[in-house]
Amino acid sequence: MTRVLRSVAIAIAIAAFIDPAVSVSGASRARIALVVQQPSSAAADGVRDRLTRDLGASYEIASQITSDAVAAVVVGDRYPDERTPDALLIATVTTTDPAPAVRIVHVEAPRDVPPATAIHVDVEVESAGVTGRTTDVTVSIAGLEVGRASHRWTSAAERWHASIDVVPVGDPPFVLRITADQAIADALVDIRHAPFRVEFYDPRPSWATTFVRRALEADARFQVASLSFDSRGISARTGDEVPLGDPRIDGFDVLIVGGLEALTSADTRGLDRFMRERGGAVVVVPDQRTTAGPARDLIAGADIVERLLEQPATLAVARPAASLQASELLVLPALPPGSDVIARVPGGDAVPVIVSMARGDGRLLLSGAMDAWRFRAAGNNAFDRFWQSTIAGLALAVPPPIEISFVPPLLRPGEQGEVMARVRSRDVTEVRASLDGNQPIRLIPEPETGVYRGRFTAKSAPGRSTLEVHADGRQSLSASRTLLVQADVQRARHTDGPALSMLSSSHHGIDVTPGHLADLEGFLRAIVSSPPRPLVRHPMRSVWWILPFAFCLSAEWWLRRRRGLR
Amino acid sequence: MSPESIAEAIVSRAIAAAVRRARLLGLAEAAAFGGAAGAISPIAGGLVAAAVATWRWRATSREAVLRALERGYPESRNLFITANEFARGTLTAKPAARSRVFADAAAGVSRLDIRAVFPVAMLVRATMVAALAWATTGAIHVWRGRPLPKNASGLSRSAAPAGVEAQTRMRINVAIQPPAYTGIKATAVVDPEQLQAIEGSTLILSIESTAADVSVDHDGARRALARGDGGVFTGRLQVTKTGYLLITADDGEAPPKPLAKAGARRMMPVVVSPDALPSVRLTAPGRDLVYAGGNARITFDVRATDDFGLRSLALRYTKVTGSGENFEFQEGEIPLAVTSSSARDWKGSASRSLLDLNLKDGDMLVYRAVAADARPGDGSASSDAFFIEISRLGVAAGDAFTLPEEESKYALSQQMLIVKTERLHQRRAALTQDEFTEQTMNLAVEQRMIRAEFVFMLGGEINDEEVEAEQSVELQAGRLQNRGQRDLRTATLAMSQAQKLLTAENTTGALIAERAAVTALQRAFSRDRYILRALATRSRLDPARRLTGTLTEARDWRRIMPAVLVNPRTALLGDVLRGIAELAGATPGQQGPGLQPVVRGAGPFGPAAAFRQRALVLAEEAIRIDPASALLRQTATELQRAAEAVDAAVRSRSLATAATAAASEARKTHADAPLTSPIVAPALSGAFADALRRQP
Repeated sequence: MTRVLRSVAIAIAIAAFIDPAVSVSGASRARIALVVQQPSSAAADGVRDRLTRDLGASYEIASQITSDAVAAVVVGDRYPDERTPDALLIATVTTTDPAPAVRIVHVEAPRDVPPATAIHVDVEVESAGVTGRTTDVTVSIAGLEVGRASHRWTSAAERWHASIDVVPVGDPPFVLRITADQAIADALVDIRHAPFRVEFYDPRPSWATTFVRRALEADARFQVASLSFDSRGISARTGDEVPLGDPRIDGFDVLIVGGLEALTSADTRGLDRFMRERGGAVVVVPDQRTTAGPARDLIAGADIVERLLEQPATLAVARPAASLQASELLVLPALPPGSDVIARVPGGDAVPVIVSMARGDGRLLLSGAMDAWRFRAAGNNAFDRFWQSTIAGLALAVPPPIEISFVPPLLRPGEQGEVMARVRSRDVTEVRASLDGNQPIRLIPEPETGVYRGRFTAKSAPGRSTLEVHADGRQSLSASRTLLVQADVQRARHTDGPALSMLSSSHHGIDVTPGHLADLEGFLRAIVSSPPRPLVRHPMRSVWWILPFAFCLSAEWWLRRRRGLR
Repeated sequence: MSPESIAEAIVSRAIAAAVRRARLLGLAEAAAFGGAAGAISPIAGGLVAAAVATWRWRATSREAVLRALERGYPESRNLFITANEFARGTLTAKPAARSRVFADAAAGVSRLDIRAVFPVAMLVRATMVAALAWATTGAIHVWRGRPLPKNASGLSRSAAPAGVEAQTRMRINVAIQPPAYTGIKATAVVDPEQLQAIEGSTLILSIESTAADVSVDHDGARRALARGDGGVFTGRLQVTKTGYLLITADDGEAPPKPLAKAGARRMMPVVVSPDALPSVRLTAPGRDLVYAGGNARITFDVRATDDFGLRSLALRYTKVTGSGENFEFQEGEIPLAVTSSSARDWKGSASRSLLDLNLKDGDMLVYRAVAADARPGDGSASSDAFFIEISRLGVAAGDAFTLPEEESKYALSQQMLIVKTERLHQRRAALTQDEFTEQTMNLAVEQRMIRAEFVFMLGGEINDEEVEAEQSVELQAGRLQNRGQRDLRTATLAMSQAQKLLTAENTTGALIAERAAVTALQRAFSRDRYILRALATRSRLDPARRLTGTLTEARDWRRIMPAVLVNPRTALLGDVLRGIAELAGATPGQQGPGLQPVVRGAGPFGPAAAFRQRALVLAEEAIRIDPASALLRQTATELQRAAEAVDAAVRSRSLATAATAAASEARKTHADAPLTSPIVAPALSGAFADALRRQP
């Protein structure tokens, strides 16, 4: 017996020394991405923990979608903002958190504002079952409350639109934190340092445009030029004016035109090109009705009727612009498609008077308030404030040579985001982008001409990054934009967006609730199989061999001692 | 008395004396320990004293005292306890034994030293501790240059930051003496957050401070205050407009100084209520009068009110005689019989006939009531002016003002147009349609010409943009935005309407509009008629301001744009808001991007001192921007309150209020937000609109 035991121990030792390799056919662990939407809820965290525990033995669980993931599980309550690979199998777990009684569903704030300008914030708030309660919507910048609006809910399910004008605090970009009861959402507003370039063009003198020009000239945010023909061949000029046919006209954001009946066909062609190709805004300020001629072609599609009032009427103006007064009006009973009404006749009639219309990439604004300039002193200079606000809005919407935007605008540390670069020039041969000068971003052309999109990952610590875009072509262009990375970013909860289940249904997956995770696990186990592959094993590397080895040696020694041997 | 009774009385007195001594010592020790703790805080002192007294009282019961006596005289061997038990009846024994015990106890008592049993050493030590504590407190305050408060413990303040100490060194008494004529009594306030005073009031400052120098900055004018009797700094100031006072106490050390020696500063907004001019009106006749002649008697009734009191009320007139270019003016006053229901409300009346006034045909008397309040200098105000005219033709004064012949083609009277329209309306049946149409068109042209004249008067025809711009500035300031100008606009609108109706051959409607225009014109000129009549020379038109010139000299010109002045108030308010945000950033997670909290790591004098210093500086910044702004005064007051607050919640609340007020003020200086367009797909909206337009 002692011999047998000794032989076994020696055999184990020899086998361990040799360390033989054995090839077997086995299964590898497939990688599944388990993505929990941020900010996560307790239910979502519970789902993540359970799936990690249940599937961790069979699959390799990753917290982000990676290129080698064979499937993904997205846990959350809304369709994700981030793009997902089209071919990836995605299952979803829709969490139904106890919906807050009041929630912010949408926040609208301008992308940029010029210096010393109020920021207009539109907030959509939705309530459920809080009838009779009052909700305060507050806007804070840099920790200071700078705006507030209140609303008393009158029905069980209600939506309220709050409009708040706030002043910026601190350094740009400004992070606006909007709160409504317990709901919080952030918005980002940057500063626009470049002045609004505006040119006035009057083929004949016009009081209507003169007083608009004075309003803009008194505002440091505008860089105004003017070209006014006082008589045949006699003109009055201001600033760096450019004739309408000159290509340099594209350097302006907005053109304001008066004396319409004196416009030539060449003028209207130039204005039309400025809107359609350059994407600029043209403001038409008539002082009398124009029934024919090139000017009529410029505003083709708009049915215009003259209306004279005995008393000046205060027009109902879209916020945040100030109200205008006028008594001699051109109204537009039938609007062309794609029009926005900026001012209407007050009362039940509510016929549009000032209208903005889409023209190619640009806008055409037609002001039918012909004699509004006569009431310019009324309402604390409402005339000046209206035109400053309106033309600033038009100029802000005019595309710059390179426009950079982020989706989402505010990122958390390490979060993935998208950058969209819109290059205005059509003769660009190369576009490149980089983050902080050391992280190149691959830009992919979009179907829309001049639009490029790229993905990037925000830096891991809160702070600022700078994204630069360079476009090479006939002339080199470049632009940069500050990207803000914050740890506690809060986003509005869109209730009218697509459901998360649409993601799974479009990616061959299933959608379950947290109570039916077993179905999801079964689905994944059925669909996601671990592919067989040859495996090389080294059985002698197991530490468990020490047990039989020690047993054999011990038993052999014990038997020998029992027999009186040493 | 038996020997036993005598011995028992001796023992009982000795025990009672011991209990009394023990209790007195205990109370004294409690007071001493409480006093020591009271140097830090009165509350702590009270608590310590109560605790010590309770603890010591428990050790002064009769049994405890007996045990102490036994310990102090071990040879007694429970003799005192046994005697006590005999005395209380809790123990019985034979009389002999009882007598023996009392006798021995009495003998023991005589040998017992109660002072040694209940020593005063602990009391002495406690008293020394208390004295040391108060001496230390006093030394600290002397070192900081602040006397001990009268009714509070000194060291209780030492818990506050060093910077807070500096502020509490000053006690500011302000006596507000309104002007004597107001009859309002003087008031006094101590350490006010804000001062309210009537225009012309005198502020008498008395500042208690241990500082070497105290100065006051009144709206930027700084002056040092003199130290008066009792070491109090005093000064007098007269306030005439809303502003601020910044009182600074300094130790005289030359700058730069460390934070702890920055000196005490106290800022107080001063809100001055102006003394309004009297309100005076002519209640009778209260309108213009035109007489063809006769000797009518006119009764004048005047009423005047003032916020503090009236000094005089009179009816003054200017008599205009003459014609053509030769006018004579004679000033005069009609005495009024004044009755006053109070010093603030006066009524006056007078009655005169035309002969009393010596008015003849063609004369005119322009009169108005003038009231003055009691302020020194000119505090007078006058009512609207009305006139009395003697005219046989009975024509209104305004119609007598005509333009020269050469300008007559531009002087078509609106009244004449009404006459013409009325005549045409009456003759309509006798005219053919073509004739009627032609005549209504002519009238429409005339109406347009009249309207053009008035539009010119409103400024619409001025070609010189600089002149027009100046006028528009005046309009903005409200100097020309009076009722007359509004009436002129109403008249021109009515004229437009009349012109349109005449063009449409609607003479009935046109007459209504024309009369409305005349009514508006009469209203517009009613207040200024005296000026219209008093023009002695004909106004000449300035060709340089008209659309005239030589055509050959016309050429291109380049207009120089006026320089745009950036409103510094916007930047200053932005700086204040940023400062408040940085202060609020002391709360974790509150600071925004680019803002550095000022409180953390603020140096050797601690974050609270830095916070206070920064908050005070911000308060001064805010009030200096515009003391007349109520919002900025509130901002400054709340910042100062935040600076002084020890409670974090109060500080936070004050900062939030200050921020809201400053943001509201800043909103006024910021341009309106740009108009936002609700475009869903801006890139495609143009193409979409074009495609829709192309649809048949």
